Amino acid sequence: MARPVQPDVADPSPDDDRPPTEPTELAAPAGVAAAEIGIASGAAGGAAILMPDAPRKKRRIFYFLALGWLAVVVFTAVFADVLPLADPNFQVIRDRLAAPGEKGYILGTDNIGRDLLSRLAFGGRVSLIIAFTAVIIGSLVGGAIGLTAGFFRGWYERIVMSFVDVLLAFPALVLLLALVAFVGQSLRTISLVIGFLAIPAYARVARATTLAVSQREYVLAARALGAKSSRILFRELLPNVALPVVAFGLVALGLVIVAEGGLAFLGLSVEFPTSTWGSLIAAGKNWVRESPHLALIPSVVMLLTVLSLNYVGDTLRSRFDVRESAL
Amino acid sequence: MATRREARRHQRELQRLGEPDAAPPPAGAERALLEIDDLRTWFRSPRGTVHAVDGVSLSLERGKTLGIVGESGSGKTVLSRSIMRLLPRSTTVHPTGKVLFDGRDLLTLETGELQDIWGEEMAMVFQDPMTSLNPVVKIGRQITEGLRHHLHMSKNDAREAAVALLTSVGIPEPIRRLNQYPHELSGGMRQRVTIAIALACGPRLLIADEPTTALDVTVQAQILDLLQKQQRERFMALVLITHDLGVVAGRSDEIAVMYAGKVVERAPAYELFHQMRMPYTEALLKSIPRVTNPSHTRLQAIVGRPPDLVNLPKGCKFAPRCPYAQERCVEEEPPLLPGPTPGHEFRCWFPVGTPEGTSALQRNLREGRIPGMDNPAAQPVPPDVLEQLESNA
Repeated sequence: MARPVQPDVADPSPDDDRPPTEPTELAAPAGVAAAEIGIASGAAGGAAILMPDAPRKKRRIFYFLALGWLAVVVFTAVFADVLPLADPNFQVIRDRLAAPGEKGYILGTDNIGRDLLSRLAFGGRVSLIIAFTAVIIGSLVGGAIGLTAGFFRGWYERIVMSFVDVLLAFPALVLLLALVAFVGQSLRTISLVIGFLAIPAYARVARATTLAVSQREYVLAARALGAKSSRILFRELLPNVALPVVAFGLVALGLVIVAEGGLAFLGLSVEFPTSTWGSLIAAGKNWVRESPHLALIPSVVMLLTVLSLNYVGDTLRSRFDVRESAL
Repeated sequence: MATRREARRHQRELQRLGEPDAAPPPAGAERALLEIDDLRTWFRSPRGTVHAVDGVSLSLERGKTLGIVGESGSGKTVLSRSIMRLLPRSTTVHPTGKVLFDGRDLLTLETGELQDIWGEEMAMVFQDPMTSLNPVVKIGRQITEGLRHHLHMSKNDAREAAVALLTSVGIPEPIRRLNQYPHELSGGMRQRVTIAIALACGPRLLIADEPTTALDVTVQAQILDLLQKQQRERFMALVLITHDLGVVAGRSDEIAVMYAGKVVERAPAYELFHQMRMPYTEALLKSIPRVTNPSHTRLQAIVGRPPDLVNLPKGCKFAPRCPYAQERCVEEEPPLLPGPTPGHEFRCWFPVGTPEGTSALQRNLREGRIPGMDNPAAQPVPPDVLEQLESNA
């Protein structure tokens, strides 16, 4: 469950963020149209030229469905206090283990009679806070490390990147468990710890992009026009490196949600009684026979959210790629 | 920061103004804008030291054009980047020799001082306009950045200057272009933009490193004409680097032919085409395809490959490919010898168009020695090549 943090994140580092070549060659003359077709990242990119309309429309529908689902999730998480939801920790023992729709509970209740819908909404809030904090920490710190390492090279790069590699090589779940056991289980520490663990992946993505971008002639041209290092770093390199890092961040959001779910499943996420999606699944697994919805609904919510994030992230990434490689 | 820089520029300005009275240049007339003396740039590599530029001396006066011609790997680009000091520091053995730009040795300047010269006094146009513009920055900002940084213009002034620049390099609808991204322009347009950026701060020296190699043939002539026009209007010195003698033929005052990191022949353009002495120059000339030839005429390529810059041959670097080569060429490297007219120099023991050269060539042909026998380069330059080059001019 929590394992994906390490291998999946490590994967796209050196080559993946470079623009894919085959779809580009076909798509290049089409310009804007190519960007839209670009939603089909990779394999479908070439074929889309031949049958333009139907698949593109279908993909766009998926894209908007994904966006819509994310909007709903974010909205309920942000406004959980204001929405007409029951107190997530209020127990109505009489109504315990109600099925969805039964006794006025839209998604039913758990084994001590708490409203599942409300717990999902508040749990989503915790999951999203952790995910966003972790991704922001990871992309800012990791991005800065990767950018400077790729630009300055030399001993600085060697020291920083070997630190990053050590962190990357360490089994992420073990490190996560150790750190959480050490620093405690508050919302803040868990966000920070997961964010810390995301740093190496971002550092690698940012460094790989920086290395590729700083070889481009426009960086040399900027230098030949008298630009200082800081100017080259911020004005020439940063905008080019930020695009893939941001796109990667969206995909990483999903990874962090899954990682947090893994922690929560093991009972190591935010402390009782605060719910997260992971802890809801963990609690529901004991009642699978009597009330399968207790584990199933949070799982489906988490699945849909991660799927949507990946889909939107991929779409945006292929759009950026097309724009960059059509040059 | 800004005030210090301004003070320095002010001082330089004073120096420049005071120059004629203060220190009259010795002997000859005016001092050249760019003087390169025995410049060597070597690289460390796992295989040994690469002698990319190996003892080049050149000079260029204000407002003149110097063409530098040579095959790939002859050291043209490294030469241009050594002049600009734009080589990666980590892999370079520090260049030795002198690069005097307006009397100051660029090789001894600090990076901070160079940053004031770059863009403002000397600028560069690169080979590939597809990669020399930042894809995520609008054209307008790429042009105005230098103006605001070096000339301290206000945002509006810089914008107006950018429109004027774009107009002067022949870009239609300049105001609209300011808000466009590089990928919205064609290759030729982009090269015009890079030229506009290079010209923005009014440099006195422009180095164009193969400015037309990445462009369509039809656009090449336009870009070269544009460079020439700008150079004349601004009284700017131009270094035009190319692998194509045809490109520099009508457009430079002086031409230097490079081979294996050395200048092998240097002469005023007209002299070079009419009284060439170096067999390599002759071979380059003959490798230009001609429209007047019947179709399916074999192109006269130069046999062999440029030498390995790590293990250079002992004698003349061109000897292994030269139809004139004799024993002496393999053993002993020729120095730069004076040519038939002043300002003409070449490196050859058996120069083209002299009795020694002719007899060397005939001996090679008679004895069937490499590479003379089947080498088409062993035939004299056809007169129509010269005609064609002249008509370019």
